[in-house]
Amino acid sequence: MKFSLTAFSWPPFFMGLVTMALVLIFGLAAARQASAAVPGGAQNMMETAIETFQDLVGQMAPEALAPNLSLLALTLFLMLVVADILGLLPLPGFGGTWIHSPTEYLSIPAGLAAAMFLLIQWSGIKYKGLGGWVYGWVWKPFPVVGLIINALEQLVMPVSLAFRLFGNIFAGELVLRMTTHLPHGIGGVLVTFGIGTLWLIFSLVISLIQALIFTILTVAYMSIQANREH
Amino acid sequence: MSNTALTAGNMIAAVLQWVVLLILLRVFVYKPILAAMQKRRETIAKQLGESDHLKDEADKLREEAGQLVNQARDEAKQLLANARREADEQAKKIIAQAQREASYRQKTAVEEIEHERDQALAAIKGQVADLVIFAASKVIERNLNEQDQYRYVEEVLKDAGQLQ
Repeated sequence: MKFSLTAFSWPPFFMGLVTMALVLIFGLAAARQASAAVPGGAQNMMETAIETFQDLVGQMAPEALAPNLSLLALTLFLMLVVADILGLLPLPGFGGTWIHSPTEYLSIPAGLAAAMFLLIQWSGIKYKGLGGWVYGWVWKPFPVVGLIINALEQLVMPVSLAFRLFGNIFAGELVLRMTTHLPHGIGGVLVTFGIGTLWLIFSLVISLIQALIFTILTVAYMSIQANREH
Repeated sequence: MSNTALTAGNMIAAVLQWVVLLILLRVFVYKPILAAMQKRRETIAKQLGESDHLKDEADKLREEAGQLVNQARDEAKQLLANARREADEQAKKIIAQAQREASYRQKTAVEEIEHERDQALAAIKGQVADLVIFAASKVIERNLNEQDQYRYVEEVLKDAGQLQ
């Protein structure tokens, strides 16, 4: 694992743009004829997604934060789901230079996780006040020593978020790619087909679950920060 | 480039992509859909309120109708009772009048009969008197023996009969 300030990798950026485009297309299809009467298919799906996240976030987050946070989390979830699945699709160029999930490049989950870390701290400052937030960092559960405990606790959050997502998606696509390199021949094709299909299904489920976990954990950490007693 | 490489540019780009997507979705997707959902919620609430209102109104109307029916029934009963009572009264009145009239007629008839009888009696009395005077004058005219007398009285009576 190397860290570079200057290097830039274009495939994840490009696939990130594709992800954005796909989510946006779905969103626009849902909102194209946003009607207060009977909603159509795409609108129905989007409404269900919005309501699900409103419920989910509403159970955890403070009331003032919930409406915006639910939309923020929904966007994150939609983006991650599409991103995770992009690397699994049988697109031309699968496994080549360009066609990968953006999330199987550590930088992408790590960047998002870092942003989530900032969001979590922001919600702490917003709901406890700057003084309360600093006090919570330094003085809880023990004076001064708390800083070390809190630093560990708070930093583990984004790191675990990033590596969990990256690891699952990277491994999923890697293994799927490996199934295409199984021995050739009639039997090999069948084995490839069987194992590949099973793994594809598994990976699709994993993609969904990981996107949801990343999102929900972020919301949960933010809610904990916002709700915690002084 | 390795998948595990951390590049600051990609990290920032990923966050920017997310933020841009968030803004775009907010403006073009969430806003209209949330507005539609809100509008639908209001419409449903309004319709529910309206239906409640209509139901209340229907209940009220039904109650009123029931009251009206009861009132009408009572009125009809009363009318019928009144009519019956009036008819009874009328019948009694008619019967009483009839009785009165009958008794009056009877009385007048009796009176008339008595009057007639009195008149007849008076007439008879007058005629008898006339007859007596007539007979007496005849008797006085002639002094007869007893046998003759009978015969004569018979004669007289016969005459009297003819006189009638």
